Amino acid sequence: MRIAVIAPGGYSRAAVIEEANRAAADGHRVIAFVAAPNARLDPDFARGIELRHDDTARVRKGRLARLWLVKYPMAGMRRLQRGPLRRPVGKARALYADRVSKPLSNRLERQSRRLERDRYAHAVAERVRAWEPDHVVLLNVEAVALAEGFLPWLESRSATVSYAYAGIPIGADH
Amino acid sequence: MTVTGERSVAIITPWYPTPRVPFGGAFVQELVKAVAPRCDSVTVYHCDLWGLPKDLERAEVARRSQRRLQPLARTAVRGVAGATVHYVPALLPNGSDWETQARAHAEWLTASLRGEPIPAPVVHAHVGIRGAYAALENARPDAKVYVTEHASFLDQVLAEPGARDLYDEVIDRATRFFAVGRNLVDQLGAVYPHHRAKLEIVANPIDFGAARREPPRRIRRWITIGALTPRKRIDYLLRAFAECRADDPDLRLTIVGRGNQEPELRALATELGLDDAVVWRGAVDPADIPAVLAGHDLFVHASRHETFGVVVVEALAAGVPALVSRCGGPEELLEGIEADAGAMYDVDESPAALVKAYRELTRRVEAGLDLDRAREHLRRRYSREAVADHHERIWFGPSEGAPQ
Repeated sequence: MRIAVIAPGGYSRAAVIEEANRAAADGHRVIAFVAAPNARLDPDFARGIELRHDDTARVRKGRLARLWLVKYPMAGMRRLQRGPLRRPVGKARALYADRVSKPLSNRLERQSRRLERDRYAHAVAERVRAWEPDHVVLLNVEAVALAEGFLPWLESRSATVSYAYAGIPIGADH
Repeated sequence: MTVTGERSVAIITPWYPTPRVPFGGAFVQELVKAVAPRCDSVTVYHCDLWGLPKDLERAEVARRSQRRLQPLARTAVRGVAGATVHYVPALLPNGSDWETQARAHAEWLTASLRGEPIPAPVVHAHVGIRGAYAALENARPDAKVYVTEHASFLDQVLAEPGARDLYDEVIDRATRFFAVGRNLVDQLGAVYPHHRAKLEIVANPIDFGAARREPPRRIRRWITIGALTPRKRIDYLLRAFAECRADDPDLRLTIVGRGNQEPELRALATELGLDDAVVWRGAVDPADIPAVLAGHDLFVHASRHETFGVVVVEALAAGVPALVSRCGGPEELLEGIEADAGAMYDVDESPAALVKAYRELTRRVEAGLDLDRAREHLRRRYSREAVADHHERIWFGPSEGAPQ
């Protein structure tokens, strides 16, 4: 069988390795989707397991808005604070940070992370479909969320899923 | 998912070993090993809490995806002793109150069963608020549902009004309700006096297969086993050990377990000058615990609170004397055999309590403890056979010729 083991972030790498290695030892072809590379543990994946890290490029949305609405105004006010208008400018700067720059930065940050996640979900879904697994092991809640991206494909292929690998789940081999 | 036979049993538990938490709920797995040969079939439903992302949109995606995945999900794998294990993630927000957790466990188990009831006529749930509510909501109408409470956090559950009411309902609906120690029964009896008569005690099974060949004559190789968390008071143990070692530099201490407190504890050991005397073993497979214990002379327990104290029985089963804090469960375990098994000391902030008990025990060990008597006393109550007999009587009634 072809088995995809998916555990992006928030899951013990040692446990992913154990799950993937067990599947490989049982004679299955295995692909593992994990978060960032782990130089210490990744070499423990058994030979033959195809390892896919999260290689989505970092996204930084709103570069111009960050410059013109956060960086430049805050830097300008910081410079003015050094002169005789220290107190009123300090107050204005604190007010501006609370009302404009922090909320804007947070919103742009959230949007950036969401875009990264969407891109990663899209990339994983594409790779899963291309790899054509018979069975998918979803090891954490992030993997369950990612599965939404390739659920129609799973349904159309009658592929099966489980939430742990401890030998092929009963009934997963049809 | 058809189950035939009146001796088919379903076990519902929030704790069971997984690759991520390999020794979590090992006592439930031990119970399965003990009882499975006496049943037509044993099916374990392990409802594991999976915390949803904080991002509400993402959390909803996960919930939606999980619901749609159910028809494709194959959760059953082969477990120990021929049992079948269903691994059922229960998705809910981190930090949810106990009532929400209980209802979510029940809801996700229902989804996993695709609306069908648990087929077994006998259902045994572990942990009153999560396992038991999920069992009661998903058992067949004619099934007998038994519950065992183990939780050391029971006081937190009972402190929440919603959870307290739900727990009341659970005890009411259960066929019989057990706890693993007298202190848990007392705790529940105080909150639910109307259920006092229904609260019974049942033990966790312990492996009595291996023991030291000879009882120790000197107790220099100490061992402690448990999660490295504040409740286990390993910091207290390290301080007491350092004092005892000042008298006897040959003392050694093995610490088995992992936990968030490990870096802090390692730093404390260094500060106390114990680097050469302390061995950090990390987590050990429960199956290897008897052999690891048998390689030591003294088991030391410093917990602030325990509902049962499995590891105290494991130590004595391995022929190792125990020096144990009076932290709840162990007093009951060692009642009547305290002097034969080792010694107990009061939970106190000063390491002097442990040090004094150790010095007295050292003198008594040289004269010889009656560890065989203590071991035999515990074997009759906690061995796999004894606990399996008890569960068999609970589930299927007394069989002819069986001990009552």
